[in-house]
Amino acid sequence: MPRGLSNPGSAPEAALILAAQARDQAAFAELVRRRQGWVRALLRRMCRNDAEADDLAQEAFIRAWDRLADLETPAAFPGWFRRVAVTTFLMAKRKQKANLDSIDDEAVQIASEDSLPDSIAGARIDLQRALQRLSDGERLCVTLNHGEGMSHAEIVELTGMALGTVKSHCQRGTEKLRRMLTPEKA
Amino acid sequence: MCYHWNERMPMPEHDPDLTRAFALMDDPADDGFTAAVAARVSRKEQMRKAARWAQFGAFGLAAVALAYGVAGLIQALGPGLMAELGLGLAEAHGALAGGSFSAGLGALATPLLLAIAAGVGGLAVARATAE
Repeated sequence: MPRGLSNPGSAPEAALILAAQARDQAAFAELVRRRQGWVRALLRRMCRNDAEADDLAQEAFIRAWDRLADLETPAAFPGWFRRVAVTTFLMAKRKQKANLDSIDDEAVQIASEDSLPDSIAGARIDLQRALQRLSDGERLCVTLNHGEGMSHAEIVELTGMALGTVKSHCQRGTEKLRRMLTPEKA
Repeated sequence: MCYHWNERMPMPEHDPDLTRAFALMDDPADDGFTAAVAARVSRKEQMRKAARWAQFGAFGLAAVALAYGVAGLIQALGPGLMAELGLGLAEAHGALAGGSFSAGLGALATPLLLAIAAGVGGLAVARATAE
């Protein structure tokens, strides 16, 4: 039985990851405490509601616990865990029969400011609320592109979507966000 | 966040204003999330331990059953085999004492074949168990 860390709270992340790979639950709990904000924020931007995002974040941490042995070096943890989280999100969406490649954007309320409620149209709105007005595919691609700093090619590699689809989701999503976040000129 | 965009600007792969807007978004507070994940991990590990003990117990029972079966087999066939072996050895000894080497070898054939068959059978069982 491997010896656990004496004080996980003050241990560097690499030490926590190595201890968690040796099945140290306290080290893993500390890792969860440090990373939960980031992964829940990422999933909240990709999901339409916070409760669903938090459920998926829990699922992603459980998967990470099960598969930590696959992680080769602690330095690779952020990218590896982001992949686990995005895969968890995509699997949940597939379960819901949502096909990210074939979402009919016309059906999603957002295309123009005319479709926005009076209280929002023409005013600066919160980015989180603006994201919720994008289609699933646009929200995913824009979040990974601008929120996580990933290139189109990296998003293709991570999600398995076609490059053209990723570019189109990023472009349309970005345009819509810009329009919603830009204050209307008097 | 105040956001200004000129529509004539080309669309870059990374939009600095949007990237900044994302960076300024707040992360959610813990609100018991870590405790909930830790509890799920703990339950999962307890179940894994229970499954490991159950597997260990099943292997133990299988070993006892195998030993019981082998003991029964030895009890049933052992005396006959030992008698056959003793008889073969006595015949070989008699033939060799009488100066006939080939007759001695012939008499040893039965116990030798029995020993080889037992060895090969044992190896086959050991290999099948390992797989």
